[in-house]
Amino acid sequence: MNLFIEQTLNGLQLGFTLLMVSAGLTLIFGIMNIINLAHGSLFMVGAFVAADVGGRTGNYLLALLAGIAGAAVAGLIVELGLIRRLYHRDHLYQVLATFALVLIANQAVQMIWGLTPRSVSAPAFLDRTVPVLPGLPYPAYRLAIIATGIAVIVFLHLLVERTRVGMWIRAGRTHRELVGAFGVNVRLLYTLVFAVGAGLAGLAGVVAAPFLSVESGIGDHFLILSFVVIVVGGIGSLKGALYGSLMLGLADTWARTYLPDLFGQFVDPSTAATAGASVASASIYLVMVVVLVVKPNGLFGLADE
Amino acid sequence: MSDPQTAPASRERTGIRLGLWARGPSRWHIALTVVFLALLSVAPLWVEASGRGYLVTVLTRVVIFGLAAMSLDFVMGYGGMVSLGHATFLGAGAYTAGALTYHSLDGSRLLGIPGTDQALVTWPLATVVGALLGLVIGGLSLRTKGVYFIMATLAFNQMIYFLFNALEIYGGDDGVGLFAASRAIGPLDASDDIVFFYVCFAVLVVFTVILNLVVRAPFGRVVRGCRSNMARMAALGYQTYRYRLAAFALSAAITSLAGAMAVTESQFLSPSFAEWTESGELLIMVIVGGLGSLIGGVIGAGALFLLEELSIDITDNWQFFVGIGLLAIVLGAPRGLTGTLLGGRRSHD
Amino acid sequence: MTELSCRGLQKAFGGLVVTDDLALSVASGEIHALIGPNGAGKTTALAQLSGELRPDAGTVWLDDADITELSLPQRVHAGVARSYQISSVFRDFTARENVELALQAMDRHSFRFFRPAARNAARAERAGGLLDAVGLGEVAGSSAHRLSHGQTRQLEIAMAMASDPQVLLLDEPMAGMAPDEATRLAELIRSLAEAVAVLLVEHDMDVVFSVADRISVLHQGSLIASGDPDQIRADPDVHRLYLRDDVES
Repeated sequence: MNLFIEQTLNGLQLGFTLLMVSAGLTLIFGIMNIINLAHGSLFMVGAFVAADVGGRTGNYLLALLAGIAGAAVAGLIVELGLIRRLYHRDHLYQVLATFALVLIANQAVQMIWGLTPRSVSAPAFLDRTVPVLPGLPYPAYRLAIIATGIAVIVFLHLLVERTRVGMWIRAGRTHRELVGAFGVNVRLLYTLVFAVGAGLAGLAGVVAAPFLSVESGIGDHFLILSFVVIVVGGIGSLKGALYGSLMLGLADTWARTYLPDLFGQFVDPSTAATAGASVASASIYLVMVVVLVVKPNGLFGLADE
Repeated sequence: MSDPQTAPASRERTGIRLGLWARGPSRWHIALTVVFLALLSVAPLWVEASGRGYLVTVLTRVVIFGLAAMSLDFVMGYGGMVSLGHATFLGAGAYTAGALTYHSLDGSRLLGIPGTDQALVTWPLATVVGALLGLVIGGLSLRTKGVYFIMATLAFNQMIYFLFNALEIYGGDDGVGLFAASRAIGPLDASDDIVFFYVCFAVLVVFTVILNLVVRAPFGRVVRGCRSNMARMAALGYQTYRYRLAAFALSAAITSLAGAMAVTESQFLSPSFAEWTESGELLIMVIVGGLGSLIGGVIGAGALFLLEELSIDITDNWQFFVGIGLLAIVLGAPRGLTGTLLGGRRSHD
Repeated sequence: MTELSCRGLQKAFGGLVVTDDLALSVASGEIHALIGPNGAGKTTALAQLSGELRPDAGTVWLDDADITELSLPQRVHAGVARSYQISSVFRDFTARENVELALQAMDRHSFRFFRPAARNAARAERAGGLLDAVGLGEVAGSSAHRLSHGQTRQLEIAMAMASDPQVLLLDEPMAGMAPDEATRLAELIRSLAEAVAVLLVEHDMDVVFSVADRISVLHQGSLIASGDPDQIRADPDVHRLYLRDDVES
């Protein structure tokens, strides 16, 4: 039972990290209808800037803020310099242009920070365990990530549902041309949304960094995972991003924990370990397969769009 | 009232606009194809004569990856399906041929079947595996459209990549060398690089002819029709899904064949064949060469590999400049090399 | 003699009812016009008859066969073809290739991979015949994107006729046409209707009242009147709602 709770918490932690990446991506897609492969690079920028600042100052909070700011500024530059030229282009060219950004970014971080992987360590004040249940200590840092994820989704929910900016975002999703007619500066709105999404990707990069080695291309896997989140949850829907992220985080963690044992009931242990690990690594994609079969527009997708 | 459901998809953003190749293969297009293949056919002799024989293997890779890019162009330039997951099939072909070769060296069995390094077995088998995998992945991904399709193909790519990474028997993420394998193609020993080039080149020529026929055949017309307007195709009475799926599977099969050829060429099997960036690179080849031209994929592969080879002494940051160049092409010359080559010529067929 | 009909058709998008208990029929030899103000649900009704949109409830019949479950392509093969309000010809293809593509759809399948489609002489001839019939014989070899708006509309009709349909659903075929072009197209539709059933959604009231045998008026998803042009002209409800500007002025 303790194992289950622990793994569930791990799954939630992964899920909320994913949420930080995919919420920005889905907002950007929902309002601007653009596919951005460089979103993973913004994750990477966040991690690298945090590693750099953290390495220099030893101050985690400073590193965190710098990582978010770095990714947001990078996003701002990318939106102003490239993305806004792509809004009316075919998706193919959006893919190509943002893939070019991925190549450039992956190489650029090597040119700036060298080939040696860097690391970010969890802040000292969270570098301990807290008992979540009697007899079940759990790393405080992971709990902090879950809390941060919850804060992010609450923030985005309030932003979209309760503010004037959010009203424009919602209107822009369905009636793009109308927003301009309201006298809203659509370009500015797009730039802001993009920067917010970029900052969130940077945040994800910073908080996930202690579990990873910070090297070129670390954001790519999170990019692809958040695509799976979007296919599962539905494009342009925060609710979809939330449930999709948590489902995938849990599916991945549970499968990794339990599948090898489960397989062990039927085949010999070494085969079970290999097969279990393979299937576990595919588990989130199997969730996607099921959704594609049952509800091709995603669980919470805007109908038929 | 006009509901989004009933309005035909004439405004659909995923429909790719092509000026040049729109009407299918023209005389100019065929001329360019023939000229380029003729140049390619003498290229190894020329590099050999000019004392740069090491370039022969680069040319072979141009042929192999050009074949993959050409088959990607078939689904993308003619079928309007933007696949960001074609490295899946490259990897599937590589692992089919590579695994068989591995077991033949090892003397062990693969699911009860003895291994072999005979290309006449491994290559066709890889093609079949690619077709089947294409049916499954295409069948699922084509339930979505536009940007979802792009994301789904990429996601499946990543899944397959991790599966290959988990195959410890073939070295996991490090891969495994197959250097003791022969390059037997039927009775022919193609261990000589020039001989192997011409084998691959012959395969490329065959599929260039086949794909050029297919895009002009009734099947190709349907596929091209689906690119410009799927709703209208359905209103004409076409079951669009099955034609698009067949096109996707055909492309997957050819790409998988290219993957098998690539592993026979490099004699090294590793998951890097199936890395998602490889899918992106195939896309680059198509776009650099010219979308919707078939031969453009090979031209694009040639441009990319030769530039890489030439720049290797100058810079370590090759990818950085590929990225810059790609941005320049996307923003400045979206018709690619062949489109720019043929300028404003209109097709007359 | 063929008849397309529907009964009890019901469709809502979220809370918005766009088709409310709709019953309609159109038989070969007649032109049945469906009119109504913007947002009345004409296009949605057409989409349910053609099979693009599934009704929430109700039945669509082709003679005695229930075709409610048939998809759009299946209904085309059963004999129900449609044209679109927004021209949706294949702009990359020539006029002839457009019609050939439509004809090819009637083959049992198109999994033919090697013989060039352009070499099918019989099909080319039939395409030529259809293009002549709609008055496009001279521009058969032109790219569709070079055709004028009126010619594109004519091409739409030729493509819809390619399946040799028994029922033709035309969604605003005259939209955006010059008056003389519209007159010619009206004549064409009139002549088509000798053999097939035509359901016509159209905004141009002059055309509707001159070509239609029967007119049904749709308002907020349901029928408020149905009858021959004289009856509709005289119907007070229709007047109040909709016709005042178009007919009396």
